[in-house]
Formats: sequence, C-alpha cells, structure tokens
Amino acid sequence: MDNVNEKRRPLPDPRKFVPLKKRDFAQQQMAPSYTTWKLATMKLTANKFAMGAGIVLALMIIMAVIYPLFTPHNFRGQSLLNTFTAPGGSYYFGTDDLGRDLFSRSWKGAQISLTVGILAAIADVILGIIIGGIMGFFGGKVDEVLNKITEILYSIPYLLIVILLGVVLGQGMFTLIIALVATGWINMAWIVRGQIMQLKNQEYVLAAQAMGSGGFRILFKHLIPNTMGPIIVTMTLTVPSAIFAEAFLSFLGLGVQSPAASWGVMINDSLASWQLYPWTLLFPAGMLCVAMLAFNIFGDGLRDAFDPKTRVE
Amino acid sequence: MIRFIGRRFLNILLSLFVLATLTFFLMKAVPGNPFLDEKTPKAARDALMAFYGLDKALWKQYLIYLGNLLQGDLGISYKTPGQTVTQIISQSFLYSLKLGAVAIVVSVIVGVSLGMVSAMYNRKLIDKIAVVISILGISIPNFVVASVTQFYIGAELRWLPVAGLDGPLSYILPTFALSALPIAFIARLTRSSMLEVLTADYIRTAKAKGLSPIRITLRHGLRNAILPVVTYLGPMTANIITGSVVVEKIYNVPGLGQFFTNSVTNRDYPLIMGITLFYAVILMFARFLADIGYAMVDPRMKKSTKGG
Repeated sequence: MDNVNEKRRPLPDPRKFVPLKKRDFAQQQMAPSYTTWKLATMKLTANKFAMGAGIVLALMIIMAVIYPLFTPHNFRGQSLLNTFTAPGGSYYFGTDDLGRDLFSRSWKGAQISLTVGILAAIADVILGIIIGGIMGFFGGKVDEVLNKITEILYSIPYLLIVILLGVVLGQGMFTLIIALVATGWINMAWIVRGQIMQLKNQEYVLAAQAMGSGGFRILFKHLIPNTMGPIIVTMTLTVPSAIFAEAFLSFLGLGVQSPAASWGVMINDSLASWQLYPWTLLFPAGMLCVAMLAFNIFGDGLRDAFDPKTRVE
Repeated sequence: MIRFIGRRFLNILLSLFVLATLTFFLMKAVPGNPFLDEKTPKAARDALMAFYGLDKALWKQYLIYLGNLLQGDLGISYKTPGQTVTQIISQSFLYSLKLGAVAIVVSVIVGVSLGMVSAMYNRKLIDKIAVVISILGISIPNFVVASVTQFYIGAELRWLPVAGLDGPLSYILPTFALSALPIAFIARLTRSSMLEVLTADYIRTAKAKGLSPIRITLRHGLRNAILPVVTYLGPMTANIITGSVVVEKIYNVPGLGQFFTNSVTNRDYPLIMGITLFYAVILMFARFLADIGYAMVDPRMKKSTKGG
C-alpha cells in the first residue's frame, strides 16, 4: 500500500529546501472522528435495505396496536354464515372455517408474536447484562463457577425446556416467554462478559476507581453503557428466533392455544382448508415471513453498522 | 487435545445429570398423576401406582429413576402398554436418523457450493440470486415450506409422494423442507468467510504461481473458509432434529418427532422424559463432535490445545 503512494508523489529532493504547500497540510489531516453511536447511525441510515426493513417493522408494530380502528370485526367473533369468505368487502383478508375475520386475527397474531419476541429479547438483555456483567467484571472464582453453570444450561436444547415447561406450567404465551428466556439469556451473558473483560482494563475504569467509585457503580455506570452496541445487535437477532419459536410451537399445538390468534395457530388452523381457500394460509404465513425477513435484515444492518471493519460509503 | 476432549465429555455428563434431575422434578411437579381417573376403582389405582413405583417417597423414586437410567432403562410408556420407552425410541429413531442424515449431507453440500459460487461471482447476478435465495430460506419457516411443497408438488402435480418414507423419491420433499434453512445459513457463512479469505495474501501468491482458479478456490480458499461452517455443524444438527419434529408431523413419517409431540399431548411422562434425554444426548454429542472437528481443521486450535 505504501509503495503505491510513494510512486504517485515523489519525495522532495533533500538538497533543496521546499516549503510545504497548503494542500500538503490538507492531505495529512485525519478523517473526522465520530463516536461509536454517531458512526453506527450514519452507517445504518446509509444502508437502504436495513432502513426499509426498519420502516416495515415500525409500521407492523403500529398496525398491531391500532388495527381495531380499521375493522368492524374482532378477532374472536365467529359468523357461521360467512365461513371462508374471500378477501373483500369488510373482510379485507377473508374469513376462516368458523367465519372469523382473518384481518383482525392476523394483526392480533402480530401483537402476540411481537410481544413474545420483544419481551423475550428484553428479558434476555436484562438477565444477560446483570450476570454477564458480574462474570466479566469480577472474574476469578465467580466467573469460573458461573461459566460452568451457564455452559451446562446452554447445552440443554431450548425446545426441550419450552416443551417441558409447557407441560408443567400449562401452555400459553407467558410459559413460552419464560422458556425462551430460560435458555436465551446465556448467549447474551457471554457476549456481555467478553465485552466487559476487554473494557475493564481501560484507563477510565482506573480513573473511576481512583475517584473512589465502588465495583457495582463502575460496572453499571461506566462499563455496561459501553457494551450497548453488541447487546442491541444480539437483541434484534433474538427477536426473529423467538417469533419463529412461538409460531413453531403453536403450530405443533404446544404453544398458544386455538381461540387466541397467533400466526402459528392460524397456520395450523388453515392446514385443512388452505388448498381450497388459500387466503387462510397466505395472510398469516406471509406476515410471519415478512416479520422474520424484516427483523433479520434490520439486525444484519445493525451488525454491519456497529462493525468497525465496515465503512460508510 | 485429550484434556480438551475429556473436559468437554465431563461437561456433557454433568449437563445430562442436570437435565435428568430437572425433567424428573418438573414432571413430578405437575398436579395429579397419570392414573387419576374417576372410573378406576381405588384398589386398582393403588395397585397401578404400586406397580409403577409411584407410591414411594419422591427421593426414592428419583434414586430409582437415576439407577435405571444408568443401566439404560428409561421405563415403560403409560399410554402404549407393553412397550418400553427404549423400544419405542429405537424403533422410531431409525426413520428420523435416515431423514436427518440425508438432510445434513444435502445441507452441507448444497450450502457450501451455493456460498462458494456466490463468493466467486461477488456482486454479479449469480451472487445476487444466491443472496436472495438464502434470505428467503432463513425467513420462511420450515412448516410453511413443508405444507406448501407437499400440496403443490405432491398433491397437485403428483410428481412426488405426498407422505410416508418409502423409496428414495419420498425423501425429496421432507429433505427439502428440513434443509432449506441450514442451506441458507451455510451459504451465507461460506460466502462471507470466502470473501474474506479470497483477499488474503496466500491467495495472491497462489494466483501468482499460476494455479488454476478452481484449484485456488477449492484447495486454498475453501479449506480456510470452511471453519465457520464446521462450527455451525453442531447447532445445525439441533436445527434439523427439532425441525424434523414438525416435518415428520406434516409428512406423516413415524419418526421420533411424532412420538415426542404425541407424548406431550398425551402426558405420557416416562416417554416425554425418555425422548427428552435421548434428544439431549444426540444434540450434545453432535456439538461435541463439531468441536473436535473444529479443533482438527483449525491449525491454531491444535497448537493452543497441545501447548495447554
């Protein structure tokens, strides 16, 4: 790389005094320095795919909350005169085998899926930060013991825990969230631990210690705010896997149960009828795919944004 | 290396013990017992309870369960009389194993080739198509893939069998549903690590030596780019096995997954416990083997484990 530069601009003759010109100064100027957050925001807004996905997600979340404003029907109401109505009229997405409005059911499903995904991700973050932070910051014996425990817990497949808890606690949304968190926080804890271990030898920690700050204050006030980047990235990528787990289990009949609407339940309900009435599968499955796609693309975009190796173009 | 393997092995045993304990007490925490039925006379119920050893104190039951477990005895299924859990598992797992093995091989071969091609033609049309395929594969749930392909390719077009697992043709649809996600994931992993590897100095050296592009990508590129894929093998096995639960249900394959979901809805506790532990053993060993494979492929790993 250096060779290329030298070829372009020959070294001045050492025997002759040549004062530096203004453009030489300009060339030596460093690139402007930004904070991590500023840089990440710049990279993210420059990424059109990720921004598009973000907008789709925002719209989806808003619609999941305000959908009742757009339809006279509710997600539970059955109308046996109107079974399998094709999309149109006041049934925008058509109706299912019991004459339930698929538009409101799909958005109710969005509500449930997004709640499961987002709550599970938030709980993961909280648990992960606390335990990962303690592991990374105190190190030594504490770290060793906690590390062993997390390693053992991690090797237990999450699906088994979800199913077991479902048997014990009864199947439903909150069992699902608890089970997803029971295994999901470990990954987060390891990420936080690694970050804290890198950061804890930095000068500002020493400075804080010199000012007399205690361990927990340093951990929560100085170290954890600096690890937020990777935490947010992991969180966005946890959401689609939680949404998928919800749909998967509800589809098997092990998650949310039928009168409630969730995408997995609706896809399962449609299995007998979608060959003749395709809209019963199309809308819930389509929305599930769009949500997963948008979360995955947005999460990837965030990862690139926080990755120091990528540049703003 | 031996120390590394030994430590991992010990971890697996510990995890299994924890899981066995956890499942045991979780099962016992459920109110009621399997023979609580209005119609059964009390004497008969007591006899049943005594027969299955459910009248003893909890800690005694636990010790007996652990003792039996050590001898490989998983107990008797409540709901399929006359069959031990071990029998059910060994009969049904054969189907899951065949399907799973095919899916794993297909995922690795197709995924790696897709990722490689897309890295070689970086930012060209082929690459863009491959990227779209892999994003779709990650976002479309396997149960949707399974039911849609079953209907259109199986029932409408009648190209392939709709259900069951007899004959090689009947493997195609379930395998496709199972491998769609791993293929997409492996393709992405291979693509990104291949792109990184292809800019390395030794690739330039290989080019300067005049080696053919195919030889460079296969021998010098792929060997180094394959590392992330090897680490993914463990989680992928888990993915395919859990995926097979749902795919077996849709394609009506009498595999272990079917029995698992049925045992949960039937509350057949010994069967639930048995299958849970069995799945756990398989998944943990898959991860274990993947780790060893990683240690063997990655030269840096070899050095550090030898030294330590």
